[in-house]
Amino acid sequence: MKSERIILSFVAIIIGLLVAGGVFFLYQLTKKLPPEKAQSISLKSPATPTPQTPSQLSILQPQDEEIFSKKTITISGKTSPDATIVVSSPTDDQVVKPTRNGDFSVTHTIGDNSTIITVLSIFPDGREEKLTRTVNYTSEEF
Amino acid sequence: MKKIFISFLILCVLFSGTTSAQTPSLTPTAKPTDETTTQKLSNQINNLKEKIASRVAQLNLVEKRGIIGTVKEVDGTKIVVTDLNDKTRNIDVDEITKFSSSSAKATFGISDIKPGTKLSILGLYNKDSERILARFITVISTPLTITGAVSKIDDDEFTITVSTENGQNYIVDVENITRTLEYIDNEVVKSGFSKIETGERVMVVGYTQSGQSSRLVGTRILLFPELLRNPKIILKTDTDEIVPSSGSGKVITPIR
Repeated sequence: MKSERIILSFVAIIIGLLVAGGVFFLYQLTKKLPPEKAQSISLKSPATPTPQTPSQLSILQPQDEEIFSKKTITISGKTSPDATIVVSSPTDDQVVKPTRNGDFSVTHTIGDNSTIITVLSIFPDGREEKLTRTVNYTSEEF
Repeated sequence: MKKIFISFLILCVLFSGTTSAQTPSLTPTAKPTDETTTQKLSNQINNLKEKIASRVAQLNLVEKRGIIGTVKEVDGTKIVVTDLNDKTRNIDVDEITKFSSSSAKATFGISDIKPGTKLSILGLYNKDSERILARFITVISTPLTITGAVSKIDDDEFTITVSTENGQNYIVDVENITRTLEYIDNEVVKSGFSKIETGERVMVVGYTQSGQSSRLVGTRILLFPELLRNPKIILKTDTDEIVPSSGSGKVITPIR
């Protein structure tokens, strides 16, 4: 008699668990995400690139608007290996040829306060590309 | 008895998860005094951590920068300038900002700055607000650097006209202060006004005269006789060279 009771209670627990699980499953099924909470995913086709010649001149250093505590700075960058590079500031011009992989580097003296450095790359076919950098000098700490 | 044992075993398996979750921690409990001290220390460490993180963030957010800009507007302690890329930049001025101008008197301040003035501004740039807290403001004049081709030479006036890629023409005054140089055989050498030729590739650095944006006094003229002229620059002489003929010997000149 005692064993029957235990078995019955055990069966009742199992049934109870199954019923509870079923109810929970049904509740989860009825749950719907409101449209305002749903995130829409839109796949955009990549924009058609405008046909333009890729840039053949880049300045690695200095950074634009950089402040230096020394007046002698290094200007370096990359361009076409057969180009002619002109580095110009209000006080001086330097003409250099890049290395075989197109790298160039020159040291230049800048003035007080702000100086505009112009880097011009002249290609063998006569085309040119120009970039400018504003560099600054101050000996004062702030 | 066997049945009881099996059912007990199943029950044990079923409820093992819940019972294990309720198992009390076996770690020994510290004394109350020790706990409060540890808690205090932990709070202090956390505060310090927060302070350090905040300072690091602040330092990363602000960096030293220097710009050149033309004054658009001056309002109290704020200056609005247009930088070299035609971008509007907001400058804040405080009591420790130093002002200077080579042409002005000793007492030069924000009230002396007028729209159109070119300034060099050195200060602290806030990456978040994109504003600069100025530390040094100096009135400057920057030269103009133009590249193009010599389209006209005036021997009487000692001027050259330089045509640029965007179709603009600049008259350059060649004066005593003007240094004329040329790039030959991978070297920059001295040159002179008499050596300048029409159609030559040129780079000019000079200062514009007041009210004349297309006329400048050249400080340096750098010629490139060995390099090809920019194909985008079409000089007037190029079009003049081609004169169509009717074939009967009569020359047809285009109507201008």
